[in-house]
Amino acid sequence: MTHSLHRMGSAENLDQEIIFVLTPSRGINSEGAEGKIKKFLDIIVSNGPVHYGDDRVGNQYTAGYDKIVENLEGITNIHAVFNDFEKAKKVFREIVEADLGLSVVVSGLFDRARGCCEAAGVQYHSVEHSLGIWGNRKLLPDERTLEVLTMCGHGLVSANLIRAMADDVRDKRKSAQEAAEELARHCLCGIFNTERAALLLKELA
Amino acid sequence: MIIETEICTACESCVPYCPVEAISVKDDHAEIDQDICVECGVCYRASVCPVDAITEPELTWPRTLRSLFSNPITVFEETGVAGRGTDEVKTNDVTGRYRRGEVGFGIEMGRPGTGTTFRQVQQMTIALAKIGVQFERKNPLTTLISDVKTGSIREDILDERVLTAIIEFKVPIERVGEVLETLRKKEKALDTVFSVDYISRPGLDGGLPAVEQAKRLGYEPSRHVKICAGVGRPKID
Repeated sequence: MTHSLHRMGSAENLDQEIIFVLTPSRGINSEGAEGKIKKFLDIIVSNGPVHYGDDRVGNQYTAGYDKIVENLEGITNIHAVFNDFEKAKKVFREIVEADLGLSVVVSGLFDRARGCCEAAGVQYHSVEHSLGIWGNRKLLPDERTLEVLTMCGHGLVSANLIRAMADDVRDKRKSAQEAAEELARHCLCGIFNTERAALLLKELA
Repeated sequence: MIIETEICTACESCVPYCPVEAISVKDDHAEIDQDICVECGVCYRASVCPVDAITEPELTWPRTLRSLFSNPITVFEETGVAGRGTDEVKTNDVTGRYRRGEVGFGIEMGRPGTGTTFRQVQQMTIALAKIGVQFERKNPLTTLISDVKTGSIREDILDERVLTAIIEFKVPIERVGEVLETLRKKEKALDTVFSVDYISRPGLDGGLPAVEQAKRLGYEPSRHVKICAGVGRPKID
């Protein structure tokens, strides 16, 4: 599942966002990987991500660090979102120095994602691009809503909830951050960028 | 998912949470259209019902597929991977699934946000099978294709509706145009959307031949990408 690939937004809006995904591979390096996964998680959390989570346990809002650590298994995906390219480069250097031996995806604008690898002295292995959305595009919500909706690759954040949260922000029932966190609860794996969503919700409100 | 109508107070709190608009309020209660519901579990996990009227029933075949392809915490037993596809590019440094000279495709039917039926997915798998595509064996969807030579999907599941189903395969770079032309022809007949994933390896010179190929054919690969950093071990080059 390509959680972060089809994120939509302007180059300016996506410029600082970097997502990391740690994925042990079943039958290759997942056995006994729990300690390495915890090390990855600790590097992430110590650097103050915008959001993080384990797609089997939950995200920072629904589970939190302790519950994620208690339930770590060798087969999982750990996700983390950063909104600061310089910080993301530092984080990835720490990940590489930790020498975990588990696969890590760096996702973002191509030059930024490659820049993280270069800063850590790593020659990237493979790349996945999106060729966009095809088919009956009349079924899609408006572009701004879509920018928020595509932050959850599993499609668990509904367009109607995004509109409802934008209404709550407009009518001052919620702050933009509170509304973004309400949306983030449903993106189980923690890949939803609450800071970027808050900015977009203000525009939608 | 089910709403216990005797308990429901028709407060409408749950309505906006459904990603596929399956919940509506009729008279004095809300109900979930069972044809539209994809069993993603969002309404249940949201815990917004003040009287706990939303329940997660035990599913039976073939409805279980809705949960498998829509609820990310449901695990596909064969690969142990939660969700609807393989690890695709994420672990390519240790699986070697995609080699230099190859392009991996993921056709994510129903993404973003519209959902899809397996009947719609079959429209695409049949078109791809006609050009000789070999579907990824470890993908959950492939196990539901009854005839990989024709792309036909099991008859008993065709009307099941899911959030996303991913058709995965790879082809040599030279065949990228053939695949994209097939997708282009097929998209007009589909009453859903799909997102296209395009996976490749950089050349030994650092260039991206598959990306250049897509551009030559008139397609514009996204600026936003996923990079497999190559820090997994044992590494396959």
